[in-house]
Amino acid sequence: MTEQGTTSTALRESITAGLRQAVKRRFGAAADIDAVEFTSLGGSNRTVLFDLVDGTARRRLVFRQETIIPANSPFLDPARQFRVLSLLYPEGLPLPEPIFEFDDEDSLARAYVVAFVEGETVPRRLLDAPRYERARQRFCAQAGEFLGRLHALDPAPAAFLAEVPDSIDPLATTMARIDRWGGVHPALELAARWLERHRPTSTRRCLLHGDFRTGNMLLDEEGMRAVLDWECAHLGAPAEDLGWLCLRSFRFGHVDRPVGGFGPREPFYAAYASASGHPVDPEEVRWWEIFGFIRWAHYNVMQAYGHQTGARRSAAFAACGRNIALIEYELLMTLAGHYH
Amino acid sequence: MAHDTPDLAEILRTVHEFIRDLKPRLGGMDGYQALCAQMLLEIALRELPEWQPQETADDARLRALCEVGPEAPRETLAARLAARIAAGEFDARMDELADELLRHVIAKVRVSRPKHLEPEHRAD
Repeated sequence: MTEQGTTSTALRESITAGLRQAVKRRFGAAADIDAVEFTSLGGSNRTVLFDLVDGTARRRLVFRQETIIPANSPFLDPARQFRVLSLLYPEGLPLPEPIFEFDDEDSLARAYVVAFVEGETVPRRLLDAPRYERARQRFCAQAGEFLGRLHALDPAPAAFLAEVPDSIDPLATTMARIDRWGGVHPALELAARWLERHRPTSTRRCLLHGDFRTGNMLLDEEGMRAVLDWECAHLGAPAEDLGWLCLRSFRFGHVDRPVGGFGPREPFYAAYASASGHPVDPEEVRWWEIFGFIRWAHYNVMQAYGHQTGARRSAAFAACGRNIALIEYELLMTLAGHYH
Repeated sequence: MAHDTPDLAEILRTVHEFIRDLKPRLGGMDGYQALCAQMLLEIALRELPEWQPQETADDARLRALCEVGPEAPRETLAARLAARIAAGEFDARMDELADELLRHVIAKVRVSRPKHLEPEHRAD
């Protein structure tokens, strides 16, 4: 998973120096870093693993830095990501412990450090490898419990997320971003119109993870260890988080297992209801799944736009543009009742 | 028919750039084959303007939905249709529109990744 070949030596040295400086500022001159590993995990974020060494103590940590700041970025900046983690970690939810945030006196900017958690994130391995069978059996209930506990928290301390566009109107925001990034998709327009005319009436508002799906959580053989990637956190209807996990696009070949490719909906919904005290309305979750297709398409529009405009040239981002039709197909098949 | 971005020329340019960046890391026969692949893509890019896009059944479908004739340029059809949908002009016949758009999307996926389609949608 290292990308030593593509990260230049000079860049690696400057990041290592910046990390060392930041660690010494906070943990004292005797503290140092060791076993630095540049990983390629994470799309527009730089991720570096390292050991914090202090006397005989040694702790594996993760440095996360925002490297690409696209115009009209749909993602939370690192400062607000760190704030979300700091808010939630004391609640005992499974997420990486926030360690420190970089500030103006550090040579590295837009970054923070969290504890390293051992485990697997790659969907295909989690869904197919025999060693994760037990974790797969537990997943639906654990995912329901996690979201139920998250959504049961008082959203007031997360009021700083109220200004995030996705906290205001996710549908309007997402369609506006597609407009801005270009590309015309009548099928997405149809879905948006359908969603507009069938808006759920529930009024409960919670702190949402915003990107809770297979690939963004870390599991080991025993089950869920940590929920990662909090850059889409916002306030909204709890069913949004449930629908996103069930989106057909994130089942990685296991389309008959709607909960992230792991299993059926019933244990997921039951665990959610029990942890949150609120029963799940499957029709509302379906509304958010239809929305989810638009949202997933919009990330692909964003990547294709980044490639097309020259901001981030890459064959992978170019391919995203032609991925949109596949999402539109799944959307229309779901809307017509052929897919569930 | 009108596909999403990247268009055909952009796809050729993207692969050309990828091979250009990869080539220095390849040696021997692989390096030589990469050079030839680059040259082939350059030929295709120069030849591309000679190819005239054909009016397809999907263009006709979009024209019918937009209620416009052949005078409307094909690259404007999707935008016209999207605007009409957003304005609510299809609200009374959403199911019919969804059915037509499924055919439109199937036409796109048949080019971008036909294996993603249900078997009954892979061919007429």
